[in-house]
Amino acid sequence: MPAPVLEIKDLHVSIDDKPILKGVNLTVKGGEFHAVMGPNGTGKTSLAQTLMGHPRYQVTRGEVLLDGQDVLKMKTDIRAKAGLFLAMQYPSEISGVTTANFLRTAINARRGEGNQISLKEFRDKLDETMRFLDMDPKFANRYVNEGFSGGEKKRNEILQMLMLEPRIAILDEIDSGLDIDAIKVVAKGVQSLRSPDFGVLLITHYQRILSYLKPDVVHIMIDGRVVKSGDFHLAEEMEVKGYEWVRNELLNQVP
Amino acid sequence: MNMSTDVNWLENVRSLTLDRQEEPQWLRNWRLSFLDNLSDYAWPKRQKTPLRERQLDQIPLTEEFRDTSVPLADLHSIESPLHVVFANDRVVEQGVSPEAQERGLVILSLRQAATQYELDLKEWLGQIVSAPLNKAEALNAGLWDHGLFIKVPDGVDIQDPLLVLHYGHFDNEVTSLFPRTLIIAGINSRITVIERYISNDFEGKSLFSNVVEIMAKEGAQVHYGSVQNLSNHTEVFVTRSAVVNKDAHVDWNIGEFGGNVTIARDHTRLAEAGAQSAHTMVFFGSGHQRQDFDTEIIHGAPYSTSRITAKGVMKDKGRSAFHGITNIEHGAVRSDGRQKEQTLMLSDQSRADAVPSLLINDNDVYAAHSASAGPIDQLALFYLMARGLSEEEATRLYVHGFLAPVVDAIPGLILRNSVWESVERKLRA
Repeated sequence: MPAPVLEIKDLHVSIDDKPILKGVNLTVKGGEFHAVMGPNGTGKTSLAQTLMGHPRYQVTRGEVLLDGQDVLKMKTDIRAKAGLFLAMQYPSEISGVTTANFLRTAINARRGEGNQISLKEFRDKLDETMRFLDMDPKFANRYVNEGFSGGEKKRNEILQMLMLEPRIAILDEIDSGLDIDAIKVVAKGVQSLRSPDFGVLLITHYQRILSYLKPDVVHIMIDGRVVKSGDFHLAEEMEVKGYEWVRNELLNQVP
Repeated sequence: MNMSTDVNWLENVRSLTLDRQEEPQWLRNWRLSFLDNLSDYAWPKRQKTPLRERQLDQIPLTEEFRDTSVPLADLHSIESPLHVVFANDRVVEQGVSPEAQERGLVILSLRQAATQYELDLKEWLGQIVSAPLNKAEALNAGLWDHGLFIKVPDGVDIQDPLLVLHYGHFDNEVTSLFPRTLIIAGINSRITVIERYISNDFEGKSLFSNVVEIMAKEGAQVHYGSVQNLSNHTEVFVTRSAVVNKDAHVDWNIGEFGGNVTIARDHTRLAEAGAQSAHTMVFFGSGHQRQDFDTEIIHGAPYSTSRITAKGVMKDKGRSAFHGITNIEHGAVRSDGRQKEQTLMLSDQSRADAVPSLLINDNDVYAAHSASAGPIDQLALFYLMARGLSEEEATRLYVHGFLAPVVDAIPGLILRNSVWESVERKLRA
C-alpha cells in the first residue's frame, strides 16, 4: 500500500449550529509527524473528533481526503478500517468487556472474515506490546478503561494503536495528566511506529512531549483556524512567548 | 365480553377437565375447584403492562392434543443422563440414569404421580403458590396435561443436572399450553433442574401459562434454571414459587426472551431460620414485546438471606418493567436481603423500568437495593466504532459487557450457554 496522505481542506465544523472550525487546512503524509498546538477551546479536539466521525459534529463546508477518498462520507468504523486511528482525550469505559477481547474483536473487524488472527498470534503480539509499554500483563484481562487511572487510559490508547497499526494516528492530548515517565513510554510507543507508512497528527497544549517526538511540522490553531505553521522551533518559541504572542501578531496583520 | 360467550367458554373449559377420566377423583375435584370458580379469578393487573386490550378470554383453549414431534436439532440439544422432553405438554422422551434411579430420584409426569405419590401431591400441589391466584394460574391448575413431578429423597445429592425441554407446536387446534412442575427436595438433598421452553412460530394468538413449585426441605439445595424462548405471538404467563425451610437454599436463574406479552410472578418464601435464596433474572425484549416481572422474596424467619439480581436489555419498541420486592416480616431478625436491577435501552422507542422495593418490619435486619435504567452510551459506541467495529458489532460487544457480570456468574455451563445463545438471537432479531 502506498504511503498514506490525509488532506484536510477548508474544513468548517459546527456543534448545534455554533461554528467551531472555520476553515482548517492541513495535510499529513506517511512518515511525517505534525503537532497541532493552541489554547483551550480553539477547536483542536473538535478537529480530532470530526476526523473520526463523531456524530455531534456537523461539517458545514470543506473536505477531508485519505488517499484521495472522501473520509466524510465514511462511517466511523470504515474510517478506522481505512487506517485512521484516534487516541481519545477521554476514552470510554466499557464495562464487562476485557481489553484483550476488545482488541481481538477490533483486529478481526479490520481483517475481515476468513482472515481472523489466531489466538496464539494475538496473544504473542499483545504480550510483546504490553511488555514494550511497561504494562502489567493483568491489564489485558481488566475491563476496558474501567477503573483505570488517567495514565493507564492513555497507555491503553497507545497499546491499541500499536496493536491496530493504523496508517494515520490522531493523538488527542495523549500527554495530558501524565508524569514524565509515562510521557516517555507514550513517546516510545509512537516512535516505534515511525515509518514512511505512518503519519501522526498530535494535538497538545505542551511542548514537553514534543521534545521526545520531534515533530516535522508544528501548527498553531486559534479560533478554529490554523494560523501559523513552522518547524519544531515554533513550539519552543510558543513555550517562551505564549499564545498571546500569536494572537497579537494576528491582530496586527488585520489591514 | 358478551355474557353468553363467557358461559359457553366456561362450560367448554370445564368439559375439557371432565374428559380426564383416567385421573383420580381427588385430582379432578381439585381441578374443578378452580374451574368452577373461574369467574372469581382475574388476569394479573400490572400498572405498566395493561392487559385489558389483549382479549385474553378470546383465545381459544386447546381441546384436543395431537401427537407432535420435537425438531431434531432441539432434541439433540439435550445432553444429560437425566432428561425429560415434552411436546405440547406431553412427555415424549425421558431418561433417568440407573445410578439416579438406584438412589431413589423420582422423575414422573404429575399425572402418574397423582396415583403413585398421592400424599405428596395432596400436601404440596398448589400449596406453594401464594394466594390469591390469578386467572392464568387457575387455568393452569385446571388444565395442565402431563406435568412434571420431581422428588429427591432425603440426603440424596444428584450431580447431573436434570434437563427438561418443553416444545410447543401451536396451530389452529393447539392454542394454549399449561406446563406445570412440582419439585420436592428432601432433607439435605441436592438437585439442579433446568427447563427450556421453545415453540414454533405460529402467527395466530396463543396462550401459555406455566406454574413451577419448589419445596426445599431442611438443608436442601435446589438450583432451578429456566430459559424461555417462545414465539413472539404467544401470551406468556409464568408463576414460579418456592418454600425454603431451615438452612435450605433455592437459587433461581431465569432467562426470559420470548413471548408477546410476558407476565411473570416469582415468589419465594424463606419459611424457616437460615433459609437462603438468590434470584437472578436476565431478560431481553425486542419488536413489540412487553415484559413485566414481579419478583418477591419473603423473609419469614430469622437469619434468612436473599439476593435479587436482574439485568435486562430492550431494543426496538420493547418495553419492560421489573419490580423487585424484598419483604422482611416481623421477627425475621438478622435477615439480609439485597437487590440490584439494571436495564439497558438500545433504541429511543424502547423502555425499561426497574422498581425495587424493600418492605421491612423488623429493626435488626440488613437490606439494600439499587436500580438503574439508561440508554446505551453513544460515546462508548463511537469509541468502539473508532477501533473498526461496525455499529452492530459495537452494540453486540457493549450488550455482552453489560450482561457478562450476571450471565457469567450463572452456575452450570449448559444454562450459561443457553442464556448467551438466547442473547445472541435477540441481538440479531
